Amino acid sequence: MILLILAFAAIAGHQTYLMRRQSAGRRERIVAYAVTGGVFVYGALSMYVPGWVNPNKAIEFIFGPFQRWITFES
Amino acid sequence: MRQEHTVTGTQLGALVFVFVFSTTIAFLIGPLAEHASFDGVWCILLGAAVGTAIVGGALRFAVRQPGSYIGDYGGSIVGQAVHRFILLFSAFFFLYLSAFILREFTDFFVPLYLRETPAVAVSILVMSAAAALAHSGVSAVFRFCQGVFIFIGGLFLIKPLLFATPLDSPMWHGFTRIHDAGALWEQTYALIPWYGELVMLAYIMPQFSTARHARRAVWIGAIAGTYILLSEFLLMMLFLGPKLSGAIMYPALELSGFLHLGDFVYNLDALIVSIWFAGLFIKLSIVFAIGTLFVSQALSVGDSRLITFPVAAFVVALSVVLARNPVELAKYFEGSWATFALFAEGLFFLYPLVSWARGLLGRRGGRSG
Repeated sequence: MILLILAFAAIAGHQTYLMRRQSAGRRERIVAYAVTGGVFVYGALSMYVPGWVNPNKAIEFIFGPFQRWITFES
Repeated sequence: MRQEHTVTGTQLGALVFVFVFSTTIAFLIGPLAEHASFDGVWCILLGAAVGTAIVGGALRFAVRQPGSYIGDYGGSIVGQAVHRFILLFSAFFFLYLSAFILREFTDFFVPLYLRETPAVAVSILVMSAAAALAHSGVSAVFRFCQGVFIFIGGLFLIKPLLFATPLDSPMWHGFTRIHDAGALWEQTYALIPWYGELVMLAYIMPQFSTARHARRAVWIGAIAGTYILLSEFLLMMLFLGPKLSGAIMYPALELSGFLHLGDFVYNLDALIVSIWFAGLFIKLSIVFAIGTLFVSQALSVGDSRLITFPVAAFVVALSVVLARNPVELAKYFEGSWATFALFAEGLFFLYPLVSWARGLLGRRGGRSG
């Protein structure tokens, strides 16, 4: 977890540097930090509850029946 | 960062060439041999033709406005809500694909060449390099590809020459007829989206200096890449046979193990894997760069570089949680990936469809008015 926090602190630092250099607007700053925050939460969840954040089950649930139908699988 | 009109036709063709066979050669021809056996040749040919035709159709529409990103003007065609959905879903698909490629790579590379190394460390290192390349813009990936495709293409072009003896085999007769139409359809269906992924090129039309010739470059690149894929598949079938090819996890790697130059250079597999890795890296980088571009367009962030590294972190985390082991990953892949991919790739066609329907309604309205 400490490594994850350090990595995301470095990412946020890099973002801040880029935003200052480009004089990014308020909305852009909020969206960029929100993306970083969201990914941090996803990263933390993937460490502790990987099954919850695995999209494969949802993909299989939605597209699996169609694929079986299209490929004539029983 | 948008560096427009900088990608030449040669760079586009080179990228398509490498894109077509870089991952398929390692991860798809084994299952193809297992399920379709000798019919795999027809699967590759049909999948390549249909997949590239899909891409050609998408490019045909995108070239109508070669100076604008469909991510910018698409909302005026299908409505902002649908447009945002298409971009977000496509972004998820391409980031998922990046995570999938990364996971396939670590599953393959770590047990063979980096034993005892944590897979997540390898993922972070590879993804950092891909993110750094994507950070320089989509066109940087094309330039990188132009630099290395000669080596990758050259290697895979001369490789069949080193297997002259097994080419003289009665097994050639097996390729001339279709054995199992069901398996042929199933495997062709699974192969089409691997080519269809190139639909992403239609979203970055302003990057191309010769947008009007993009389709020609894509077809030439796809034909050349398919030739490599086909030659590798034939070599594998003739040298290892259909049953053994289907039973081993990475038949192309096993095939490389038999390669040697005369009596003095043995074990060329390390060299081949290193050069092949450049191809895989190009595919990972371009897919990731496009995925990041989609996220930035969907969230209306002017410069995609602001979110490149957080999105790269997402790809690493996703690659770790995708499956517990390679068998589980293969199960998910075989069960639903092709339909998921075709759905994501097909979303692009909502733009020409709605545009065509609107034009039709407009003409009818004009006549009645």
